[in-house]
Amino acid sequence: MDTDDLYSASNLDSQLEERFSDTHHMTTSNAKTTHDSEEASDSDESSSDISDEPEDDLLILQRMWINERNAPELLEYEGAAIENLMELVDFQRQKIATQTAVVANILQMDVDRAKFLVRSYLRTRLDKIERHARHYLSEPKYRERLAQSELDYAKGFVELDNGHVRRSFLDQLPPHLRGLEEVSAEGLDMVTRPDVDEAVFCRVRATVGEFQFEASIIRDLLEDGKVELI
Amino acid sequence: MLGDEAFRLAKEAKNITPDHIPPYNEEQVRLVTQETRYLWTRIEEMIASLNSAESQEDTHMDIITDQPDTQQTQNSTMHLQAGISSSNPTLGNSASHARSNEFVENTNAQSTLYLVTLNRNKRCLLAYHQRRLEFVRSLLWSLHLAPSLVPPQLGQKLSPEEQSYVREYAKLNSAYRDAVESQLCPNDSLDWTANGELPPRDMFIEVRVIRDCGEIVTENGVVNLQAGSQHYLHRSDIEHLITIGYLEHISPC
Repeated sequence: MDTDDLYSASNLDSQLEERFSDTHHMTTSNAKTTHDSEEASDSDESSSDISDEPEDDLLILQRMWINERNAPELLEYEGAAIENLMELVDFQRQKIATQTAVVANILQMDVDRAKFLVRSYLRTRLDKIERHARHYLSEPKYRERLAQSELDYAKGFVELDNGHVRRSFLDQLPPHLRGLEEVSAEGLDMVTRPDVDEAVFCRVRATVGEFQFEASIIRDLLEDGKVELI
Repeated sequence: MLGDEAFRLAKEAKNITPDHIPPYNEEQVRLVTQETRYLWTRIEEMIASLNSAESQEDTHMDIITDQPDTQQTQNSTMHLQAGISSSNPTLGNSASHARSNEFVENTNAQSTLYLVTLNRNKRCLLAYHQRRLEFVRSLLWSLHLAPSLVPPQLGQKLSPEEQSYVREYAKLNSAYRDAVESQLCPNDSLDWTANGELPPRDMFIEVRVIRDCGEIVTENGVVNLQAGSQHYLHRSDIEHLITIGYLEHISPC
């Protein structure tokens, strides 16, 4: 059976790589996702400065995905990388149709894994948006980080939430107790915000030099792409 | 006692665990809102009586001049507190002044207490509803965002508002998904229904059927998924059935 061969014959991989050298870079970089980011720490990219040559979209997205999952606040939307990657996926998908079963399976796997990455990345962002939707909507800095679809989602979410609370009990309270974005006398804010001073682990991608340690420094470095979270 | 009803509500909110939710306590919510409304009318009365006491005494303090309806709650708290601090030293020591001083202080203290309780009640109400919504959302995600899959015994525990929230939330998500798909991959789907926790590892997986799914059509033909049977199938064909709990993935190790 085809499938048994697929799993038993490990030398098949090398044959396939020769035959499909153009898909090679995608397969290998994909494999790294499963082995987790730790493995990358002793690979070549970490010790040297960021190279000038344009990076693989999959690698960019992988890094953004890990950053996004570890950062307490919402980061910049990596729209270009996702779009390029999905174009690649589309291209690959058309190619699958012309291949034999065994090869098609492997390519399909590759496509599925790329899709997983995109899905997980978007889902992580949605989760963060739901948590602090009001905060992200009210601050222009975060608003710019949202993709259009995410902006719509956040607006819809807040609307839904407010509507639910209002119908459930708020309309029965005295009119001036109906606010949802006020700060109480004790300084408790009704709008939740992410804890941006949370501790994170990071790996330095480009030499930064010595610096005075301040709470927000990692945040700035992350935005500049000088460090990545792990 | 003051604030007890809200406390009960908060306790109930705490009882919500990822796999258990008590029925929506409409009665308790009603009690808390009722108390809140009652306290507010009391505060309005107090402020009115303070104002009239002021005008009678003709002292030079202007503690509270605004009408309560137009004020924010915080403002009135501050006014009241300012009233407390400023009412002490300025008054003379005649008997009637002492009495009115005491009256002002008492009323200020009481209305401050009521205001704090008001805000606390509101917080408890919000927390209760928020916790329930969090539960509903995580339930929906585990059901693949399909409102029709909510088990009836759970559906009964939700209030009508929560049930409509379920539907609206699912709608919001599908709108988002459509928007993303039309932008990123117009001729393909992103397989939203697939497992989001772990990246796919194998093309074919071994699954055990937990609930009857009838026959499904796969690339290699028709498979009858009967409860209790085991199959070796293409992952993408049956992944959505795993997500909603009809099949169980038997991991090889």
